[in-house]
Amino acid sequence: MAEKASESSNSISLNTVDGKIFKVSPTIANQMQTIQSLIKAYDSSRVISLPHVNAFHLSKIIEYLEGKSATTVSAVKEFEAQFMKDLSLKQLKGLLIAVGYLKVNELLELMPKTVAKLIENKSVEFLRKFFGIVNDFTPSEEAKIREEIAWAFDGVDED
Amino acid sequence: MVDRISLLPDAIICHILSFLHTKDAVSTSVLSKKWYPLWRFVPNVDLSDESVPDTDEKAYILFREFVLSVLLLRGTSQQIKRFTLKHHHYDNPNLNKWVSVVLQRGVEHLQLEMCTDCYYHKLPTGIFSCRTLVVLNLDAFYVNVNDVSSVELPLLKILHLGKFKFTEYRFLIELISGCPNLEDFVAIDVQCEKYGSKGKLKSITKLKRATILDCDFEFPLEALYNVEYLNLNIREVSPHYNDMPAFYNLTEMKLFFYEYRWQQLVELLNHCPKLQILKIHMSFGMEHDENWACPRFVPECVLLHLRECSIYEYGGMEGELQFARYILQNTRVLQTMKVHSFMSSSSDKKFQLLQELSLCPRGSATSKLVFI
Repeated sequence: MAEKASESSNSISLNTVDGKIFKVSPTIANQMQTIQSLIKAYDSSRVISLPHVNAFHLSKIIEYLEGKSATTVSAVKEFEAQFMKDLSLKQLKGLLIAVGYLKVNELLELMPKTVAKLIENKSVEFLRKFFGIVNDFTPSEEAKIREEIAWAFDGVDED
Repeated sequence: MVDRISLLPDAIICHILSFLHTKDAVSTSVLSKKWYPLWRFVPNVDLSDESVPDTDEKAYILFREFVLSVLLLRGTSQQIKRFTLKHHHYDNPNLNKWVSVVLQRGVEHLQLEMCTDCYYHKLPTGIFSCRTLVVLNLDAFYVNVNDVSSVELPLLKILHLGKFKFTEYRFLIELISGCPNLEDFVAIDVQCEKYGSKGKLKSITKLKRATILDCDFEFPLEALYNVEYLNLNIREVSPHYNDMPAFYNLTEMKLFFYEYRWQQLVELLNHCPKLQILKIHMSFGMEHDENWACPRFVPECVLLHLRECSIYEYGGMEGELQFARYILQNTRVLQTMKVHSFMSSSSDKKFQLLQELSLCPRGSATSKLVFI
């Protein structure tokens, strides 16, 4: 019994919005800044609920946190590149939200860089579609802003 | 449709925008009301006039207005951490103004690259007394030492000067004295108009890396005595060694070798007792091959520390072969000798060169010869 308690006190249970429970080590959980204060008060009878994170996103975050502890700098780079490559655009956007919510600092460095590469030199229409942004400007407001910053639209890709 | 990414904190959006050119970041202000103000909080500004045609004066005016509005639309308390400008036009009446705004915003990383062939821009004032600077990168500028009241760059760690001209040697002395924390110094194609009153250059004690190439004056290498990495043209090395101290921390050197100054090369190696990596670029197409006179002594680094030696543009001339042989023969811990032959050498010629090298006696039994 004592053994079981120590084993479970070592891992932390996280419950995703779609009801899946993950057990992670404190080292991993501590890298999610948002739940750090909860971990301090944690005991093994509890489960930490993550209302904005689904199982897929949490599994990706754990995969990343476990994988990036590779031994060499080049191995970490390679792992990171592959990690980002494996994500579809939809997954990337969803994961970015989860990462932003959980405040996983290392992914918050890595992912914006990747997103920036995808949106470089793209048209406004592309960006709205990409990010799923609802344009809440009236046509005349938008025209006025476009005029203010006309130079910024020079030479933009049309896709 | 859900504005999914708008659920993200603004800080993350700004972080994404910080990896874009400023032009792209600004264009996101038209996306939605939420996005409208965000680019103003991005701490770096990265601009280029590359897409503005030389001949289109109107477009160039628009560009200059754009830059000014980018700088001024941000709040005065908004830090501009990093400012990068790649500039191709010759004359920029606004440069001083832009730089003065940036200097007042706590800039840490300032990069001004004037991509103009034979033209030097007058350096905007105030840069050398900007106490927040950590990285300074200047390309194609001219400085009159009388315009610089003082150099105070207490936080500066990285200083890169490319195609840089100053009026008097004392500017260099003042510059170096004003950067007590410099760790990385690059001077490429730096010219000094008047050598005149020399004065002494203070040693840069914290310097770890230095690159001195194509400077038209004899650079005082003694100021660099503490470096771990040195990239040098042998022409920069004074033939008078009395002044030159030993580089006790130097472990890696990249050397451009000209005019077959073999004696100078050996002397230089003798001043680098801990050198582990040597990369040497032979000069291309030199016809006169001064004979390599095998020195009587073997420098300490060659004997005890050199583990990697690369020779680039190897043409297999007598002196080059003798030098390669000297290294192979006298190094005890050499792991790799990489020899990159002339691109234009024929395969027969390459085979012959490889054969010559392979037959050299080795001081280190485990050393590998790689011929490319």
